[in-house]
Amino acid sequence: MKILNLLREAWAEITLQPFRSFLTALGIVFGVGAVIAILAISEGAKREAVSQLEVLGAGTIRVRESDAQANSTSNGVGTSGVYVQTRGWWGFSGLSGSMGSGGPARPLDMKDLEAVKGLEGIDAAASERTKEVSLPGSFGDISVTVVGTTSDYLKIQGLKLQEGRFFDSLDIESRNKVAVIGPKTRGLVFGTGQAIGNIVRIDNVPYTIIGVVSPKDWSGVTLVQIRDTGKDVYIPVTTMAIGTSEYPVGLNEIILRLKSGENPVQWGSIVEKIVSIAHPAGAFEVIVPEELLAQQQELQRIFSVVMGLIASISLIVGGIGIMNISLATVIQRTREIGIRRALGARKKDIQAQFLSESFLISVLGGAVGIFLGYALSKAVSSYAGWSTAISGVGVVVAFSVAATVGVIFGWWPAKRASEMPPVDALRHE
Amino acid sequence: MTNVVTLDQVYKTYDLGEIKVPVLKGVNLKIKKGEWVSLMGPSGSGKTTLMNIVGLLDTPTSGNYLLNEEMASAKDDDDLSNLRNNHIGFVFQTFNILPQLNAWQNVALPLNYSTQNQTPRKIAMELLDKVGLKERATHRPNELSGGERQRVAVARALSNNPSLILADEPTGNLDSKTGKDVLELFEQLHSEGITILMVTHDTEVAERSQRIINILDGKIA
Repeated sequence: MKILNLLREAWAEITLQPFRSFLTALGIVFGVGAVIAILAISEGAKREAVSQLEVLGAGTIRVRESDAQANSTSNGVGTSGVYVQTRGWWGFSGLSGSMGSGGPARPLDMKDLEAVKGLEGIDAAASERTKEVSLPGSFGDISVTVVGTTSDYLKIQGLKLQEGRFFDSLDIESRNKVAVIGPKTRGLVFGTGQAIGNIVRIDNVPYTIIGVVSPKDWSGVTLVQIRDTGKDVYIPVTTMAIGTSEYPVGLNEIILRLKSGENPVQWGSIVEKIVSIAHPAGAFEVIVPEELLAQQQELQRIFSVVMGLIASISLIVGGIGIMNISLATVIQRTREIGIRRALGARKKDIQAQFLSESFLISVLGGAVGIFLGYALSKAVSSYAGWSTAISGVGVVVAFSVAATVGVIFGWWPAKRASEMPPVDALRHE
Repeated sequence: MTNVVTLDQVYKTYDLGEIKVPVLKGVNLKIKKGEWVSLMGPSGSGKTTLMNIVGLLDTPTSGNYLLNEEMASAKDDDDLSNLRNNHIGFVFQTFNILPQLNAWQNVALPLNYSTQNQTPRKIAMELLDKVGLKERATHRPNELSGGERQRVAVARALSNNPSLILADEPTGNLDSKTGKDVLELFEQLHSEGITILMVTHDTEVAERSQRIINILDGKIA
């Protein structure tokens, strides 16, 4: 019999008892639904990870004063809420004469920046020394973050200028009182008026505005705690240290960008070693987004494997359901088998007929399951806030799995149907 | 005139483990092309077994069966299926048409198993016209009367243009009026030269045929 005929007859048979067919397919529906949802969740996580890396910039390393610095505790959960590689106080007190056991660790400083900046794999480095200050805005005082930094900052953070210029190494050397402001700061302080050439007073020191940075959306980044740069005011780090007795100039964060093709994890550990020479008790942490992502993806992978196993069990149970009903159907339709055999159906025709019924039920169940999985992944998105994405590959995989389950679990009942002696089958009441 | 059916010393014994039940005990039978033969005999005489062997649904324990003068015993299952499909049309007492298919689909069913390229719907419609059910072509069996169902079954038996129609009490489940109509249909088929072997209990029905064979205790009397 031709395939089309087989499927048409199978369809007629399935629609003869639609509710029973629906119940038969239910296991497949849930199994495929679960597979689709799991694939959608892991695909969503993967895409989110990729987009986070795009925002953060691939190949960046952040050396940050760790939360642990305040109380000299070590190793723990980082600021982002995920595990971060932390170099805490490891009790090297004997090596560091100035610091007693449990004493406060020295902050990061410009010397650390200089120490790692020249490494072979590092393309650029920038400092961050931050301070919250109030500026008089058009509608009252506004709180901004003053960032003392170096000339490569924009390049490293992936920021662009919308007006003017950024300060260069000459400004830094000369400790010029120049400032570059974020787009929100510009709006809040100057409205639509001219910003470049105007003065902002930070701690009563006047700075001339030389540039305005374009907006950048950091909101998708959950991997690393990151400040909204919109309300930043950038000034040369050297200028920021005027009037303090600090030497070298203390920093909150050093941001490094690797040359393309360099391994961030490897360089991360080199940077960590170098910085720890100067900070044997150093409460600092080296954050490598790629490494955090890898950890996150490992968790994600475990989740997917576990859920995938559960979904497979559901598919197997679904398959057994199909087999069960098929066996009952074969008994119920024994006489029909006899009639068909009398009319000239060969064993393989009978087998193909029953097989195409279980195949079609499975495939239809699979199709419903895809919609269920879609709805499930949408529900997960809105409930748990995870991003999900239905991939074409996932749909094809789930569909093929459903079809395969139908064929595998329908095979034996179909075989049994075909093996019935026609005379006995015809006599069956 | 060629013989459509030739049975030569056909024995059939059912093997029920410890007991062996001999049902056919050396049956010799010849049916010529175009003949209408009635097969009569009491229950348990071996009628059904004989019909099953002639219909290639069962194989003899020993002896030869020639269909259209070709050896049909000792063929494999696929070959037997193809021979049934090409040469034999069955009409059963209980109609045996499939409830999920409509009239023309039932008639076309044997064509689905045929290796020849055919136009099932066209052939089915012609045959339904021949048995007077053209208007009922898209009706399902539960929308047809008993007589109409048996006509569908007759049309189905004709769909592959068989050499032999095997009818097992085709009027047994019909009232006398519709039974007569169905018999008239068989007479028409006979007049067209179709070979018919019909099991019946009804002597009136048997008398319409050219020849009556009585089977008794596994032998032709």
